[in-house]
Amino acid sequence: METKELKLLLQLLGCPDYRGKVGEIKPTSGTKVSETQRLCRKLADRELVILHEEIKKFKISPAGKTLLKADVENLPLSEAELKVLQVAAKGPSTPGDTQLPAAKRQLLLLDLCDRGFLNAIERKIVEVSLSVRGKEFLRDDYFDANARRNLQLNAQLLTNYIQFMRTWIGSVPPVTPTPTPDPTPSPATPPPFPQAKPSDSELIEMIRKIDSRLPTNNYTPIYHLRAEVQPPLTRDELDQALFRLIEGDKIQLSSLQDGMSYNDEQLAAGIPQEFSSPLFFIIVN
Amino acid sequence: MADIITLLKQNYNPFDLTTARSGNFWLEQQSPNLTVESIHQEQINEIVRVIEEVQLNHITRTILLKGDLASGKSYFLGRLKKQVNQNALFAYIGSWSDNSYIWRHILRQTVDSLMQTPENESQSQFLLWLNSLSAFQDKSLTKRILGEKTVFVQNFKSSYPTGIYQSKNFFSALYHATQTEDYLLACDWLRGEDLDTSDLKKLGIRKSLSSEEDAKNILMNLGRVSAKAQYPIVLCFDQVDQACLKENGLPTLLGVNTTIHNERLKNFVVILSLIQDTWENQTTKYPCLADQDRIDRTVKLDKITLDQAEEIWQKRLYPLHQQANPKPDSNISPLTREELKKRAPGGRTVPRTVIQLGHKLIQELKGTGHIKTDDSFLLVWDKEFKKIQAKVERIRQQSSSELAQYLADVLEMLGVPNVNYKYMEGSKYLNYSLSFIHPKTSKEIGILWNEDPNMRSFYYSMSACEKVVKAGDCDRLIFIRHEPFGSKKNKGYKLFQKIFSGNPHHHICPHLDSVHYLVTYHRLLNEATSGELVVGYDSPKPNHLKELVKQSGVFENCQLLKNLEIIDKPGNNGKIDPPHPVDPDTKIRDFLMKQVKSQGLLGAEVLINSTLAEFDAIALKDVTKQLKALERENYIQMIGNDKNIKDQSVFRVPEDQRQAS
Repeated sequence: METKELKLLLQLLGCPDYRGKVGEIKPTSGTKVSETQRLCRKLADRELVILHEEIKKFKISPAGKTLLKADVENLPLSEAELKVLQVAAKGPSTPGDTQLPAAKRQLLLLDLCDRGFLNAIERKIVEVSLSVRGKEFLRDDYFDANARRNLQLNAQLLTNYIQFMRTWIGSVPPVTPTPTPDPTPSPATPPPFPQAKPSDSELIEMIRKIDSRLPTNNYTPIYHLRAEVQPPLTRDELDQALFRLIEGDKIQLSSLQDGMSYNDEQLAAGIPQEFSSPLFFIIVN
Repeated sequence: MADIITLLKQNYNPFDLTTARSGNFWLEQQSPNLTVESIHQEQINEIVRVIEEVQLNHITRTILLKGDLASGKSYFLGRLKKQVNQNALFAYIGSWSDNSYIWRHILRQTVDSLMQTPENESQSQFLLWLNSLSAFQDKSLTKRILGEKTVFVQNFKSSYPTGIYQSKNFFSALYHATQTEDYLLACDWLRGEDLDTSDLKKLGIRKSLSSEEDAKNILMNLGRVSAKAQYPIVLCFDQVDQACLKENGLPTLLGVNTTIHNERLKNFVVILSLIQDTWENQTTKYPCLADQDRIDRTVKLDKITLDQAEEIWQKRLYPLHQQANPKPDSNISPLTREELKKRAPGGRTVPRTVIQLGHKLIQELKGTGHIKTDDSFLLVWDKEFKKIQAKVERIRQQSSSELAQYLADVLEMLGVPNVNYKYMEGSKYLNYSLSFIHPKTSKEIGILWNEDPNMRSFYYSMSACEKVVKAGDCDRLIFIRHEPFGSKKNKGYKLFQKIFSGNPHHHICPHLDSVHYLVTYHRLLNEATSGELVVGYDSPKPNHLKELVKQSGVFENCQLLKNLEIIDKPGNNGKIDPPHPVDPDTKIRDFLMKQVKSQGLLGAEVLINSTLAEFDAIALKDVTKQLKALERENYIQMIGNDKNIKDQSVFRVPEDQRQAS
């Protein structure tokens, strides 16, 4: 796989629902939109991504023309669809020419193209999402045989990938049971089945328990909590739950000032902030 | 009339990043227009109530002020000072470098603060307070017969028959502080300087203060006397995280606090402002800190809400909104609450983030993208340097041990090998000394920096030097001193002549300017350690700061480092050093480039006006000349009608494109 293709996929992993606008998933900041689109198409050919396109220019197909000449009343066409075809019949048109509400246009056009009544003259990829095949590829298949190749990934891309892998680990019970014992000692015996996800109020209870067990003086480093609730929760689900608790004034998160006393793995459990050190400690109000 | 977007593009970014941080409240003016009253108002009121209590019963109280990084602790203290300075004396006490000097550090910083003038007043806190004491209102006959000073001291002694440490000396010093010509000298004695006999004579005092015990007791004196005038002394320990994170740092600070309580030092309000992480982790590390009992109250600076964050934006945008036509549709337009929400987990954030985000969004709107940390560092440095220039008027405002330590810090930052503060072991001047390996000659250099005016101290330090030289402990010994050496006949001077007049040992007379460099770096380093430093969108940690300072080359004009041959003298290795003194054209040019680099795109009129305001005695044509030159050399590009330069806009040509064309 080309470096740029890989980077594009990793960018995509950072998007909500693994779906992003073309401008957001550029493999490098210098990549032009046209090149990104070309890469997307190549990836789509291999069914790794799904393209969400918009039609910029279209014309009527011979099939469409025939349709118009047919007896209108019996056709399975809505009024709007009909209108589009009539517009297209006059020559190459743009979505604006149809005078339909903007929200409806693309769905209609795509549908008509799919059904072969219209031909798209110009398509533009607007958004791209990771396909099921793409997810499997990244999880199970991706392998770089050229181990000496220098891949320059920024931290964000690496984080995206790691987060993605964690999500898998978190949400899917292991396919093959691992015979090796759990290396991290956990106070509860690891349950054989996926646990139920804790509710927000259960989370507070868990934080309290961890705090009094360690004890951490109501200033509990977040990695203790992650170790206990991920899984069943994913990292993102836990973050969102914590944010809800902040909003309800149930807890506060405090940022780390001096990371000297923690190892890298523990530090990685913090919630990064754009302008400041990561949020790292939980205080129950 | 222009719309808000145009106005924002033409003007300076209203979210000036150098205002995103605060420090010593005596160095910074807070603009009331930018203060969001609702933020932490309850906490202000809570502390004001404590101060009012102390005003009535004089029982010392301690408040622990905890807050997250960037939650606005220093700004909060500034606001507090502003609000109650007419009823209380405020002292700002920053990080200390040596636990065994902490009382002397506190006394020195307290007296320094007392010498500051509150807003809307014409006299220092100290004089305002002294003048309010009844001993001054005495216009009796005895005064005319016995002399003013005798009466003054007697009045005081009868008001405080017991419990004043070195009462005669102390009251003498207070008296001389009211005499304009002796004011500085009296303050020097109070802050614990080692004064020369002739100076002490002027004050009618036998000896200088020197020990921790002296410092503690003089502080106690200040507390007792200020009680009479109903002025509590508020000791604000701020940005002391650096010292607290060191071995035994926090226990030392809490020990001081306990002493203040146990020994009944009256009339103090002690505020310990600490990052929450520092406090929690240090108290877990030293679980037996029984001293925590001596904290009467804990005040927490919570994160702020989205409404408050919006208000910060609104206040900053207000002046431009006033000029805008049409009126913007919201009072934070073109910014939106959505943007805030995205960066505020659970709808809570800290003030600094709000300002940094505002800056970034406006920068994007100007179409200039992110500013580089390296570029904004120069602005931060300049601003801090100017503040220090205005405030540090004498070398001796820093103690000799501080000067030696600051120099050691700077050498270490510059990558000089084996920098070792406290070099002259077994000597009284251990704290004044340092050593390092010279990066070019690989020789071991020892330094003693002594600015004590006391000739005896000068003599003893010379004999300490003699010992070092005799023992051959280092290849070269350098003595730094700006203070006078006394008469040629005295023993110290003779010894000095013997050791330092030839080779290899020599003397350097430092300039105030060099000290400004050292102090500026020290303050920035301190802020970086406390997580308070803001450069661009970064909050550099100490190591990052060191990189920034090194890369920026700000120390290249530091004369002291040139004298030490750490920095090349101009023209030494073909490197272009700025000519000294810098010619006005270069200054204008540098200024223009700094502005354009940090702002990206700017209306020419705004740029020209701020340049004219920055420099004295330059004309519009000087500025246009430099702008044209920069455009010719393709550093900047000007757009718009070139008939009238003020209608144009200026933007920076990115480095890579500049090379290409």
